[in-house]
Amino acid sequence: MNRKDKYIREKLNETKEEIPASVKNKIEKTLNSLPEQKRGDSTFVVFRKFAIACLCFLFVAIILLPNISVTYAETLEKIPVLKEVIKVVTIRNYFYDDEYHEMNIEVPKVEGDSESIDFINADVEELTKYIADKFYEEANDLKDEAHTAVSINYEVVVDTKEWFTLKLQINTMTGSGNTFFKYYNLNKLNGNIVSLNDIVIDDEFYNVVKEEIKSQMKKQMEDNPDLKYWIDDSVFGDDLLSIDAKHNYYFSSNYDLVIPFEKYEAAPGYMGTYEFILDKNLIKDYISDEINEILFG
Amino acid sequence: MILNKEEFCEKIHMYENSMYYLAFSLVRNDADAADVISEAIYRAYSNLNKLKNKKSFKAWILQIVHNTAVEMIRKNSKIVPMEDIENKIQGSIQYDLTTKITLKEAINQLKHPYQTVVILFYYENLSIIEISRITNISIVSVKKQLSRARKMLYEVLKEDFDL
Repeated sequence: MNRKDKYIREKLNETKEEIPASVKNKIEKTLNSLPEQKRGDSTFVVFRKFAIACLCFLFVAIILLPNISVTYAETLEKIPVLKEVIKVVTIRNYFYDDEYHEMNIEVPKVEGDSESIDFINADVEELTKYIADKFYEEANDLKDEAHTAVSINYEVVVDTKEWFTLKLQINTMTGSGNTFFKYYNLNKLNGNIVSLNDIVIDDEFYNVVKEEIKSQMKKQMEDNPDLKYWIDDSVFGDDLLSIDAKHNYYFSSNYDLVIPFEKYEAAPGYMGTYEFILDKNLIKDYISDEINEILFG
Repeated sequence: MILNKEEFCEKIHMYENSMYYLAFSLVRNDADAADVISEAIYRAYSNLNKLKNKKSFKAWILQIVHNTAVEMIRKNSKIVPMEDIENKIQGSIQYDLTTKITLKEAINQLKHPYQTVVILFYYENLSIIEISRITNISIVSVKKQLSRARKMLYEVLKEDFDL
C-alpha cells in the first residue's frame, strides 16, 4: 500500500462514526427475534417460518398448529361423502384500532356435518383466538414504542364436486410486513383432510416438483431481471427451495397442482408471496390412484 | 455448526459498523440500510451451516449484505446504469475549490459502485481479492474502480499530500 492510501485509511479511521441509533435498534430487534438453533435437519425448516417477521407470537402459532392438524388428521376415519357445495360464513371478527396498533381478524366457519369439518373449524378458532390474544399482549407491551398490525382473511380457493380448499391468509406488520398461509384441503369423496404426504406414493414427487418450480423461477428471472428467487444463489445455492410433505398446496379448478410460497420462503422480501402452477400430467406417476381419478376424472 | 446463536450475535455486533457502511453505500438511506442488514442477518443465520471457517465470517456476512442490497436496489430501480456512471465519474465530486470539502464528504459523493469499493478498501481494510468476492465482480474490475475512485480522492487531498 502506498503512502497516500495509508494516509486516507488513517484519516478515515479518525473520523469513523457510530452507526445511527435507528439502525442499531433494528439490528437488536432482528437478533432478538432469531429462533434458537436446533440440532438435525429441522433447523432450517423451522427457521424459514421465522424469517424476517417481527411479531414473535405469530411464529409460535403458525408452527404449532400444522402439527396439531397432522396429528388430528391421522385419527380421521372414512366418513360420509360431503355436500357438493360447502358454504363458509364469517362467524366472528376480532377488531381493534388505535394510533399504534391495528387488528382485523375474520373467523370463518365451514358449514357441514363431518368430523373433518369440525376439525377445521376448531383449528381455525384456535389459531385466530391465539393470534388475537397475542396481539393484545404485544400491543400492551409495546404501547407507543412501535406500530403493529395483524389481519387474517379467508378465501374458498376451490369448491368442486370432489375437492374443497379453504385458505387462511395471515398478515403481520411491525416495521416490515410478513404474510403466512394455511390451506385446508378436503377430499369430498371420502371426507378426509389431505396433506401432500397423503397423496404422494413416490418421494421422487418432491424432486420433480422442485425441479419444475426451479425451472419456472429461472424462466421468470430471465424474462424480468427485477425478479429474484434464491436459486443457484452465489451464496446459498438453491437450498432455500424446499418442498416437503408439509408444504402448502392446493389444486386449481381444473386440478393442476399449485404450490404457494410465503414471503421470504424462497425469495427476498420484496417479492412478496408467489405461487407456481404445475401441470397435473407432470405429477400423475407419483400420486395415488385415488387422487389421479379425481384429477383426470 | 461452527457458531452457536450467542457467538453469531457477537459476530454481528463486531461487524455491524462494516455492514452498515456497506449497505448505506449501496442504498443511500438509513431505513433501507437497516432493512438490508436485518434481512442479511436472517439469511446468514439460516445458512450458518455453510460457513466453514470462523475467520471468513466478515467477508461472508458482507457478501450477504451486498447481495441483499443489490436485490433491493434492482427491485426499486434505484441503481444508476453502468454507462451513466462511466460518463459521470469524471468530475462527479461536486465541490467548490474555495471551500475545501472533507474526505468523508468526498466519499459520500462518490457514485455506485465506486463508493462501495472505497468503503471496503479504506474503511474495512479488505484486499482486492476479498472485495472481488464480496461484490461478485472480477479482480480487474475492482482494481479499475478503485483506481478511478483514488484519483478523485487524491485530488481532494491534494493539499495534504503536498505538505
